Amino acid sequence: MIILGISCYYHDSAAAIIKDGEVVAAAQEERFSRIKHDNGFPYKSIEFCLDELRIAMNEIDVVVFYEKPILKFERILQQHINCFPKGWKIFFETIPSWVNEKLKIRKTLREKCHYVGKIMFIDHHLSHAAASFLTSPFEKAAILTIDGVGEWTTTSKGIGDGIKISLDKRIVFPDSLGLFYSAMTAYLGFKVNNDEYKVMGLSGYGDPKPYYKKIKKLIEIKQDGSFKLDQNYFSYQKGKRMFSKEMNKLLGGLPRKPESSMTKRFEDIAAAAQLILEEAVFKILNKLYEDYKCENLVMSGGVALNSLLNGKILKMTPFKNLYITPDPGDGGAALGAALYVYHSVLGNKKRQTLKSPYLGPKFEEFEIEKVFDKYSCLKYRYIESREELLSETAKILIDQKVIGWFQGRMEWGPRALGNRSILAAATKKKMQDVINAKVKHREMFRPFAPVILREKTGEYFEIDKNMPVSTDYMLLVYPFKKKMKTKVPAVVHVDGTGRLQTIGRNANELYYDLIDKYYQKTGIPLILNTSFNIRGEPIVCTPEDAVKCFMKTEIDYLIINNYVIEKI
Amino acid sequence: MEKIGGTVLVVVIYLVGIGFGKIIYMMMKKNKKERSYWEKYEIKDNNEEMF
Repeated sequence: MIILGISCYYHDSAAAIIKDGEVVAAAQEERFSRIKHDNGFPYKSIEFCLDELRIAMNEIDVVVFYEKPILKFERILQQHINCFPKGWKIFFETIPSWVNEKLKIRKTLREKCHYVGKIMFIDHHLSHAAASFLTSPFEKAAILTIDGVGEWTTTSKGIGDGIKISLDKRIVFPDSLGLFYSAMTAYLGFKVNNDEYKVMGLSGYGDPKPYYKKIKKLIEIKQDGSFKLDQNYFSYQKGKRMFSKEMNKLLGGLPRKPESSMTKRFEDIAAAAQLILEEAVFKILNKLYEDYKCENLVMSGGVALNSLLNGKILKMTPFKNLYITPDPGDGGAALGAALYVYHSVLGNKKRQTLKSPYLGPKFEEFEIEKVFDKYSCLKYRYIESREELLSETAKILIDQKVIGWFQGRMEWGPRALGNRSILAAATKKKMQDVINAKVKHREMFRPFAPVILREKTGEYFEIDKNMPVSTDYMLLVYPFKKKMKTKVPAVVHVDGTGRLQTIGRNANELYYDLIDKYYQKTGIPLILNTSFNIRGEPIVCTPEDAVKCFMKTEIDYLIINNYVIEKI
Repeated sequence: MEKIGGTVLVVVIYLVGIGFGKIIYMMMKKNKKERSYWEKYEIKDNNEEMF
């Protein structure tokens, strides 16, 4: 039984394919199209999934779409009714794409992909819930999904038991924690659906007190965790702007202009927004525990990418165990929809936990060498011995050089987890400036993340008693232990935390062995890991993308499989 | 001509359909104080449909 899940037309289009319940391949369209957060139909991701299984489109038993397009369209029409006659401009901008494309998924699959088999459509939040629950290690778990908006739903809660998922309660548009956070993202001069993580990073610099009461006015939170946004402050129903002029009055000034300098005021606003988001989610979770009395929790939806929030969940709620899938956003919902059909619709009872987040394409040596032939300004050598490759790479790190590390299959989800990563030593604070100057050119307030040998995590971080496996996916922030902060200053955020990736040998042998080799030589089981891309571009996918990024930046060494590459 | 006709049709649909919908919506809207904003989540068992 082969099932293909697809998501598209909002942001982060993706495709994922499963065979007899096992996840075989999954990738986001942006990696192939090189358009960040590409929302187009995922032709290239589908092609990759088919290639991985070496099958044709019509060998797929079911293609499943991650939401119900007509319900979503209904919500958009309702939105226009609510704000009539305002919003006429956005009506004429968006409706043609719905009529011509977004409501024609079936036609696209039949006519452009020449697929004749069964097509299904799964509710958006059900796809989110399945993405986390059906890949989790739990037989039974309470489920919370939170995002901007699906069809109508913005937040849902329920329980997963075996292969059954039942979402019992929901909150609907326009009340949305995701949209609340996105509106704050826009106010702070960042891109919506792209830069929410920057607000998270910025919040570490601020003091929530000056703006806490003001931002609290935006959202009414009941004791049971349900909430309502005061729509006087928001304008996302009427057009592209996320917030109204009332927001400027409330926050005592104009929003930050994109790319302008950062001030204390904006840092404090970010801190208050983050704190209020956390308070709302903890209230929901405490009620969720009360409702289902289950110690396991799975979370999904875009808000589950808020690693600062995730790192506090087990401390602030009665839950004992937490799992979040590597891609809890809309891309991940493609996989969730496929798994939901296989298990919950078709009744296949044998579940499998997600074995690996490395589900994207990999490249053979002849494909890599073809790329070298195109670029005469490179010199490269092939190191046959794995041991020698590890030793040499560890030495480069010790020498405070920056490495583009490209190995094996690309990661599934938004994070670089050691197969498409930029690596560097974390022992000197100035490494942040070096990477920013050489590669990333990003805002100085954004922290760099550490990757640490899993078994050493407790030595460096204040971790939870049951540290979730999702730390392997860089989805939780923990505070550093006081005495360790000075050892690895390049990855310690201003608030003393780190958005860590833990790595076990069974998860990624080569990556683990590299950090272990570095540990043997330095006594530090941790290095800096940031995504292999430059600002504004998707993470690299192919060796050619890697070489192009290498050439555009001042990365010192590029290591693709066993090739060590330098610029002439 | 076809293009103009299409545009006119969309404008008419917008004014009549959405405008009329607004009147009904305003009539139905009641200012009731909610104790909880959770609502029952009913997901239809119609996986082959787009709604």
